[in-house]
Amino acid sequence: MVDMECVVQGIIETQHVEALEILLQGLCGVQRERLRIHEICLKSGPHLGTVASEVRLLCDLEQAEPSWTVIHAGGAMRGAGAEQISVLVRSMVESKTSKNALRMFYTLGYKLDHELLRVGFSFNFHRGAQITVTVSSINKMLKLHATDEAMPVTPGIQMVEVTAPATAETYAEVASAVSSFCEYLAPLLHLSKPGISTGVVPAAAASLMSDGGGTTL
Amino acid sequence: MDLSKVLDCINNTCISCVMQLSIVDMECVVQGIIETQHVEALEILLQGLCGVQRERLRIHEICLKSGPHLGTVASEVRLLCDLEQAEPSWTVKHVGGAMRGAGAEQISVLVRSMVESKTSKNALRMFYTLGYKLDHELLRVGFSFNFHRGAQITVTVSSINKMLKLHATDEAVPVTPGIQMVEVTAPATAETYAEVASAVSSFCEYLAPLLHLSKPGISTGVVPTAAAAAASLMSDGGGTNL
Repeated sequence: MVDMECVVQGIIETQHVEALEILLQGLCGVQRERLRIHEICLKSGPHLGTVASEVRLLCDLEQAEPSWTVIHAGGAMRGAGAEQISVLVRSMVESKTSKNALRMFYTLGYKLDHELLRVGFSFNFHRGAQITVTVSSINKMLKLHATDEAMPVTPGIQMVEVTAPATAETYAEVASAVSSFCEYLAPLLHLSKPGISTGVVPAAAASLMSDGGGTTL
Repeated sequence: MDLSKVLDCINNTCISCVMQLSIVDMECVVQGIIETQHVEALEILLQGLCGVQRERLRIHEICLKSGPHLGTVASEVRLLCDLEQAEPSWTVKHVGGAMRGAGAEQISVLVRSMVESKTSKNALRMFYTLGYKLDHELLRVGFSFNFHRGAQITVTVSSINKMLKLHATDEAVPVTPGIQMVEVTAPATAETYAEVASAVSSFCEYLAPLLHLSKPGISTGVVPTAAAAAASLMSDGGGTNL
């Protein structure tokens, strides 16, 4: 069965990230996980009779033993049904792999397109679907693979992504669960389909921060 | 090349190390065939030569091809699933072209580039998604010896089986009944391939009474002396009482 995922994205000012974390902690009821992911985007083609193919190699640098995953995100679902859904539904295949996957894909004719370093945190929980919320600063490398010298692409702004795995049978209810969850984050950020920028929310974090420590009775 | 990071990294798992130390992997290979009736004798000989326990082998091999498209060559990868493990483990392997030229012709083993990577079970789906198509699949059943003798050498003795239905490993039937494939491989690099090839050649001489080993694609058939050599080995297989 083809794997799919439901995705929405948004941005938030770095100064409001702490407030978002407090809100997420309360909503999810799980501990956050630190995130430090080196993402390498590889492209192949296009050649006559084929479309360009893109894979992303992700190396989780937070692990004691860095672990690698290769991901191929396919095209978004199209048509009237897709337009009525407030989240992007796309095909996605991922596979764990060992460290020389990069060499393997180079050998197969893929070429480095770009690379970046995501630094932040994520929450992984179940709320109508298995949802992952990722809050991270996107950084670029000035030298090839130099993760220690990464620089923010958009200083002062962080990316928020909400994803949930789905199948061709379950995507409608998963999309609904993601949409419902996103409503709780509305005071702090707008989340929409990737590629549709909605900017930052004007008045946001003060109320959360003032109440962040809980209320003394 | 700045090796400072590599030297700081204990196990070469960081991305800098992976890239900076990305010497192209190579392997030295020879192949041959043996009649199934003589496999037990070969196993006794290998056990004596290698001094290690044999490992049972049951590998589902899926060959995938991509292309060719205009401006590209056909690309082939093999997905290997080790069914002997309690939790089947997957490896993806790309075998490149053989080394060519005068130097290569003087060596009695095939030297070729090779890259392999461990992967999880949905690698097959991943490669299908990337446009690769199933070319063929087979099941190798047998045993292997892995040891060091001038190089890290692996000897694989296996029956090659085909599946009548897609992925139906339980219903596999031998491609060549009564004949098994023997393969001797050793990893190498562009710097070490000459001595690795020499080590493989030297080792193969010990197997000469039972089988001829040559570069893949150059068939030398079975050895006339195999039956006599096997009988001699089998009669002495249990060791000599002093």
